[in-house]
Amino acid sequence: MKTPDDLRARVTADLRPVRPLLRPWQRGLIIAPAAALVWAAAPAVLGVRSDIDALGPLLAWGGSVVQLAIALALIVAAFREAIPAEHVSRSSARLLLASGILVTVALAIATNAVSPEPEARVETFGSWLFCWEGAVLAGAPLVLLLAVLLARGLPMRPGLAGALAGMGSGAAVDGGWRLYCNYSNPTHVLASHGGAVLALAAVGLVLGVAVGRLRQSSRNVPLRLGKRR
Amino acid sequence: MAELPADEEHLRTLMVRYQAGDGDAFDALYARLGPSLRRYLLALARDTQRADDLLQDTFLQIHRSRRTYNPARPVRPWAFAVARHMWLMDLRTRRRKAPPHLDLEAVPDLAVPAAADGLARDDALRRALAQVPADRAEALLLHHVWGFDFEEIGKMLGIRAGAARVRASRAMSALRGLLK
Repeated sequence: MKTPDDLRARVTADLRPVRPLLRPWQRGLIIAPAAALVWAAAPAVLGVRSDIDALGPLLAWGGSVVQLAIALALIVAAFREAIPAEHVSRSSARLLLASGILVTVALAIATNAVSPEPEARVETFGSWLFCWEGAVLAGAPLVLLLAVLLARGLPMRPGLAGALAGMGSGAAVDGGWRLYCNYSNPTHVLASHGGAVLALAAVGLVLGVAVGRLRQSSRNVPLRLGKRR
Repeated sequence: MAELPADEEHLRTLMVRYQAGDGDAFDALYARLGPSLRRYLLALARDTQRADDLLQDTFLQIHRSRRTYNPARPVRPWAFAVARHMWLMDLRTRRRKAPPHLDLEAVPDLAVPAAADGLARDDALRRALAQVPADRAEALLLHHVWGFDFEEIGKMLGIRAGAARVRASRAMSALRGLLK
């Protein structure tokens, strides 16, 4: 089978050497410092919550480290989705996406059980918005960076790849945010922090779909070499 | 790096040369991969003209995405996954509402799965395969016709290796039932 002339011409026009992308886990390792930065931003800049000693190191720091680990697993899965024949199975993708939000829920419940809030504190829209907005803004650069990196590959299911990346960003940012936020009330944590995680996953999904559409529309003038009937 | 079969090793060498900017390696890849990719696309698209168009689109996409090939991995599953992606993109573009369906009547030179060899003659087999649900028939074909293992098929289709095995097995059971 001989290469059609039109195809050969298109290939020859852009035959520069390329360096293969690193393996997904290697790309995950490279992005890990950025994820860790997002994770550490809130406690480093805004300080740690006042009841951190009451929570103990395992629940406070251990829980957040688990969230960071889940975030990295989600990001590696997103990178896998961007490589042909490296797909994550649907069940694994569902499990990973669920774990991104379920760990937030589990840590909220555990935190409230160990260090409940004083009854006098009332959840307000302002406190909800502050945490939601802060977490989304802190995670947004990571989602954008991941979208750019995903676009360098060939995401087979771009929406899923984006959602995995977004959920990973959300898990990373929430891991740090819960170390800063003084609220233990599950209503606040789930609505505001959990809402931010879901919002970042949604942003990732939208960006992933946009990457896929962009790629689809940039198929240039398709080669149509077969004989027409 | 896992040891690859001789043919895959040759494809890998070609792919590495191609990634390094060797246009002749692209021609050699086209010659070696083109026929099997065309048959696969024909099985998916059930239209000779579309399969030919998709084959060119696939190689153009292979060219654009050549950096996504990892030299430690076999080439064929990667190339087939790109072909499948192009077919799915084409489906979306055409906004077909009906689910993808394998019309094996349209596949003129499809090899008979070895495991089904004793079941019936080619024509009857093709007709029967056309009645098997598309996702199961695809897993069966990828395994028995193109020789991918279930781990590779799982990664190509985004399912677990066990699920790919079950799909192929159910397709085979369905075939046996249809050919009785």
